[in-house]
Amino acid sequence: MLLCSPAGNDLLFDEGLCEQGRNFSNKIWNAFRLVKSWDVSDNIEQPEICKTSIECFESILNKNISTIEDNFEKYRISDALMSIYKLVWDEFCAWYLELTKPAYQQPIDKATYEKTIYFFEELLKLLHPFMPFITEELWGNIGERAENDLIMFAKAEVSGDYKNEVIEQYEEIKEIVVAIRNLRNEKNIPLKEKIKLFIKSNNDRNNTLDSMLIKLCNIETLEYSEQKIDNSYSIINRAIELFIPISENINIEDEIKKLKIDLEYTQGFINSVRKKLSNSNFVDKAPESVINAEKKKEQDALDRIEVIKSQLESFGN
Amino acid sequence: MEIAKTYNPKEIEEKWYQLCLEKGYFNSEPDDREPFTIVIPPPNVTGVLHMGHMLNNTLQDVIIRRARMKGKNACWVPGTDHASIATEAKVVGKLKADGLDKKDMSRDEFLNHAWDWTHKHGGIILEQLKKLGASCDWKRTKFTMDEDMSESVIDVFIDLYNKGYIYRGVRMVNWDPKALTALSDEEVIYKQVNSKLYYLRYKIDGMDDEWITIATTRPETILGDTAVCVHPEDDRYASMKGKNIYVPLVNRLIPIIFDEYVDREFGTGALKITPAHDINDYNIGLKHNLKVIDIFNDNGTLNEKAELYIGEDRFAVRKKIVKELEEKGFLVKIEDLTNNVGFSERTDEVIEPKLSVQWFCNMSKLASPALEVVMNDTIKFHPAKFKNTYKHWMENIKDWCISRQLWWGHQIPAYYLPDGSYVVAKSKEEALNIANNKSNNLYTINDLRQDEDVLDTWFSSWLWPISVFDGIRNPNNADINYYYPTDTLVTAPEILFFWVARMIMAGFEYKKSIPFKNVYLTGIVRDKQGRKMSKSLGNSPEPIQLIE
Repeated sequence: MLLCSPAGNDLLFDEGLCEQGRNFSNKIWNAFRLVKSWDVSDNIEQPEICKTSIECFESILNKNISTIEDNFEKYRISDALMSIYKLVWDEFCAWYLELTKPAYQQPIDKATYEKTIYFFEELLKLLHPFMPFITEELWGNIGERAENDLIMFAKAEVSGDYKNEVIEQYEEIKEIVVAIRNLRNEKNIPLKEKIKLFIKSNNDRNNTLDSMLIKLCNIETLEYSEQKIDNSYSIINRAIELFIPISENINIEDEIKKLKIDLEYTQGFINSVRKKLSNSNFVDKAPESVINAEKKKEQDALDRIEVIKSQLESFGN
Repeated sequence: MEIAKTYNPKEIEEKWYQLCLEKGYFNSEPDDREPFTIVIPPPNVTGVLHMGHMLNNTLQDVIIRRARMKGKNACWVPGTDHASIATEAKVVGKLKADGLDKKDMSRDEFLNHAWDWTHKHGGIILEQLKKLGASCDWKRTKFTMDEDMSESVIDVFIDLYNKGYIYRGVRMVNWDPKALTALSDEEVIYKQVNSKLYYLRYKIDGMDDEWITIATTRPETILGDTAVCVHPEDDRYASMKGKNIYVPLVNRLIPIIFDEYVDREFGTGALKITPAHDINDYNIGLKHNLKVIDIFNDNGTLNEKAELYIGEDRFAVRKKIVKELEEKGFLVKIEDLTNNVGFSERTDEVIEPKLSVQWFCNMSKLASPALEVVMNDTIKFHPAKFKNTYKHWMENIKDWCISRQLWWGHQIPAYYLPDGSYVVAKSKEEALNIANNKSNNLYTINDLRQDEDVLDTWFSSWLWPISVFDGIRNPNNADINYYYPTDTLVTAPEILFFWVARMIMAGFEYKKSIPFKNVYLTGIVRDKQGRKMSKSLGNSPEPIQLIE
């Protein structure tokens, strides 16, 4: 509920807000159970990807700690909570844990485990003022604690150094991951199907974080290429272009059929929107926001038609 | 230890909260650490938690917990407010449901009922705050009518009286002629009613058959008129400067005065001024030094000052006087009009604005340091936009009417002598001593009669950041020296003036310093349609149920 209530502004109450809080509690709880379920092994070396992930998350954590500190100083309490919420949910649960978690039923190396526990404790401390009890409970469970070693008395986190260029590089990797995931979605490429990835970069690219791409996107091979790759899906992100060759086992006929059905549907949709927009009765009476929403629908559909057509072209249609 | 599969908030919250209470982890005593103090805005003692409290107290909890983790000695002082008028209204309502009437009771009897009510319902809200998980130092819980807290209030009243800030003065109140009591502005309900606008003409003195026509909805009050007012730039009346006119029927000579207050477009642009029976007329009367003629008895009948219709009810007189004015040629015309009329929330009687003697506190000296510290950010407002509102109010501050015609609260420590003079003192015995020392007459204790009224609720809560640490009675005790000034106040913008501004003033008067460093002003909790959540709209969910 505090999320959307900056100082002096009115708050629109919705029971959904309570639900959001409950979901968040469950998310933290489950993340804790996940981490605690790992077997820890002294005998394995820390994988490179864990080292880089730790470095990235640590920078992000430290940057957030200093933002949150600043928000508290300025009594921007809802902003502080929003930063913490995103830090826990997105950065820690969705990215960091995905990157570092061991393969199914495999143990985790000790160094990574200990660092993960340390991060968890830092996050719990950040969360404590907002969620005093769940954090107290998890604090008590995360390691051995003396009787009066409570999180409420724990020393608040202090921001360490962070490197903006590390965060920048990490953000780029995350964008690419999201783009590839979207592509998989659009093209119906199941996550379990390995893909090949070619990266065409104009300048010298720092590739230290590429292992993250391989892990998160289930990539079979990752290569750098000077040229465009034919017969591929392509994604442009910042200064680089990505190519994912269209798999041989894809049925081109089926694809074309699907695209044509989609095209037909979208055109029908545009027609109905245009009909509405040409109806003077509607245009005169509807509030501007509704009309703008309809206009946006029209534009989105037009864009979609462009995409479908270019895909059909790439199939030689 | 194996951790449960799903998070069970109820169990875990209770477990930790109980542990903290048992071990006294929320308690604070002065030590070598830096203090961090919050005083709770005390909710009404018999109230229940609403969404506004949830937001407000959650914020305080976040801030205090953060401070605790920063290694500060965090102290959050909880407590409740006696809420004079709100609680008294609830008790009166409850008695009525039981077939009892406050009018038939002695003060002591009524107060016994009020205390019963307070003991029964008081503290529910604090228990609800515990459910919220508020990390207050519960052993410091205060109530504005605790003995020590009440003593602080009385001490301050006496002190400000001796300094010449507190005085008795006349003010217009909302009078209920049926219940025979003054009402607060909140107890007056304005309704649109169909009225008539009567155009009456007043003869100008020293001129032959020259008249001024005024328009009024209350022709019976012309008997209390002491001027007619026109706009100084109104050409129609430019030649009337220095002229006098006669009030119809009673033939009293009154002046024509000029003031920009008059709306030239309304009626004829000439306004009758009846300072005793209209708040705006009263203010104009003050400005122009007009006589005040109060023509009504407390029950709404006319008194001898009216000269006519003595002893008859105001509405009966309205009918009769219109007829008489018509017969005698003073009535020009009658128009229909819809206007807003105030009714008593309790009796549905039409409110009669009435002048009465009240206690006031002069604010001008208190206000200037309190304005300065906010404008120069010694006290920071979050968000800062409220500085403007604050500035506007503080620069236009009026004297504070601190007396209320109620019983539940701090009874004013003024004792009247048979000759009508009074003594302000801490107790009746002390008042008797002072009275006897001043006079050659020897009074006995039974000659003294304490003022019936109580003090405005804010007259106790404006001391809250000082009095919870006993800083009024014992200005140099360890607690007040350590915890004051407090760090952050979290409150609603609606009470910026009622409470926040006055606490700043009291802070300067009694501690020579600010009461808090930061003021966090929360928003109003609204529902999906953007309406304010309130009990009367019935759109506020029960917070404890939501948590569960």
